[in-house]
Amino acid sequence: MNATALPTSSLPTSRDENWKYANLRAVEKASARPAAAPTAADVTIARAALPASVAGVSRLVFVNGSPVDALSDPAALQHPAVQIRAGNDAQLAPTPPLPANAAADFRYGAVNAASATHAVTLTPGRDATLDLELLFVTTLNAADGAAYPRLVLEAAPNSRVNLIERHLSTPGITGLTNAAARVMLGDGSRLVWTRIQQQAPTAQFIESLHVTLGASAELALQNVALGGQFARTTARIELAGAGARLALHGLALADATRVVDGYVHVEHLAAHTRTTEIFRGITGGRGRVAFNGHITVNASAPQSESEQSLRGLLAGALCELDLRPQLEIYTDAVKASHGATSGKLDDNMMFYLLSRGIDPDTAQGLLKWAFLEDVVSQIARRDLRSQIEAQIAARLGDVPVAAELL
Amino acid sequence: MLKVDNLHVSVAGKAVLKGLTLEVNAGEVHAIMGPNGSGKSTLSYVLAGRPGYEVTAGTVRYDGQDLLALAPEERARAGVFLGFQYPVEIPGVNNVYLLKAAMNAARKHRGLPEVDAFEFLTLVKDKMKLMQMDEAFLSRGVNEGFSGGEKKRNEILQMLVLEPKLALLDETDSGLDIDALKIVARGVNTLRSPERAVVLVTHYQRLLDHIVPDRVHVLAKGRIVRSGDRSLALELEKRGYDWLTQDAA
Repeated sequence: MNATALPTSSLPTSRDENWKYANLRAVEKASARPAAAPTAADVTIARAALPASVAGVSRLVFVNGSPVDALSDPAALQHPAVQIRAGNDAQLAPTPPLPANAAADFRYGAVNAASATHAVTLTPGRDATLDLELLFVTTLNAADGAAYPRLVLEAAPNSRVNLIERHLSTPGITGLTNAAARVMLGDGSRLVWTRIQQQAPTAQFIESLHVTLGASAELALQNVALGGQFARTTARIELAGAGARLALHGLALADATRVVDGYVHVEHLAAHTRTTEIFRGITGGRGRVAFNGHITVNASAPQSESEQSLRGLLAGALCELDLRPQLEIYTDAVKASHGATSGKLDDNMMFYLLSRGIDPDTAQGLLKWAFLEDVVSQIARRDLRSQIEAQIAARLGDVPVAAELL
Repeated sequence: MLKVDNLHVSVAGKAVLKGLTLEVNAGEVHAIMGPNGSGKSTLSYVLAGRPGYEVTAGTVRYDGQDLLALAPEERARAGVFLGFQYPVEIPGVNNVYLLKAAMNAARKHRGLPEVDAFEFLTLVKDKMKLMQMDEAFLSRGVNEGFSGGEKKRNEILQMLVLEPKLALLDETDSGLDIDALKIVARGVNTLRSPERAVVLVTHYQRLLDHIVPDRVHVLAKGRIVRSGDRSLALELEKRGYDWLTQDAA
């Protein structure tokens, strides 16, 4: 079974409502054939792309969708809650299907399920703690086939998981990564999930995340999208158990002609569920950042709360921002607030900094940096945050400013 | 030090300053008073280089150079400081970083090396004591969550750290209670020296009880209509501005 199992005619196009800002041409042109296992040369160049280890966190490394033990930590490989298995979703334990109304947005996710050559499955037991970093590196160009990283996390009740997930690439690659994650959080469990996509600005990247939270489960998700000629995140997060809580902090940067697109659908399905959703995007050049924050509070979710703040910054004359807060409420007794603002750098802030003798480039850099602070400050691990800040600084082109701030 | 000659300024096509002339020498403190809408804030902004203020006629010389030809950041580095009437909040940029970046920009301009980190912190903490500010302010975002009075004190703190040659203080007294007013005045007074000049823009004479000016000017309808010594401020306190603005019409 491979990508051809799903006819390409059923894949989303920019005519689909939730995909209208996507730029799928290059994705469609890139080979969707699952990439061959990495060669020794691939592993050597992938190694050079790896960031420093985060203190106290062991790591698993995948290259072009395949696990590479030589780059992974033995502690992670031997961990009883960690399994890496070869095969696609049907050959392994199939993940439960999506509701019909969501399936249309998850067609790339279905391609991942059918095409993934490996899956990493995490099953922390009741009351257990798991700290892990997953690094997915691609070295693929458009003709080389695609990488299909696949993660399944089943957290038992009251478990604690700190998961770092990074998507990286070697410089200049043009190939496709189609990633997917299925996450099921048991009652009372807690997942802190820090994700960073920092592939080359020439890469094609699509990911599908489907998360279900049980009663009183908590998810703190930080999603940092920096790379890709085209990058798309499709997420569906179900607050299925009473008292489940989600804190989502997302950040996206797009310059040149890059497009970074996100669609996050949060479904409140049970009473007393709570969502905080913060998104900050900066676009420059002819870039485009799109983010659709869709929150549904169903009739089954009275006494729920949702708070949403989407903000975008236009750092050029030809760039584009499309922020869409979308709130649907089907029950009374709900507290909900949402807001979206797009704008340029604040003239008053800019003049204030200039009036203190700070040069215009530094002042701009500082203000962009400050704009992202609401999201970056959520990353609790200092060394990880420093690494991510350095990545952001490099992508913003304000390295001297950041170097002083870090 | 500052010589403003026949300055005409328009904002969004509307003439606000209409032939303002003013000379401030080193070592002097000048107070600019006047009714609402007379152009007091416009004068501060145009001297500091805020975009959107179009100079249609006149000249401004500062320390022998054409001030209007300099970009805002160049004016600051040359020693011009504007204390804002409404200091903006910049969450995410912390105070100590701003102070250090501003200080180093000025030092670089004078060909000096970057300030030593220890010396810098000692200096800042010293000035904070004078302004009765909690050290916790340093790590907070610029003016973030500060009360009106704290913002004004923070402006004066920045001024004390940067030691400008020419300080333009735009209604620094507005929104201050009497204790905060005294603290701010003390800060300004410590900066007074024969090499420096201060221009205070204010509505009220009460600030001038604490910072005694050498000259007082009344700005009305875009021009200076009366200048005098400190007694002019006291007269304004008694009589208001009407008797002067009628003359200006």
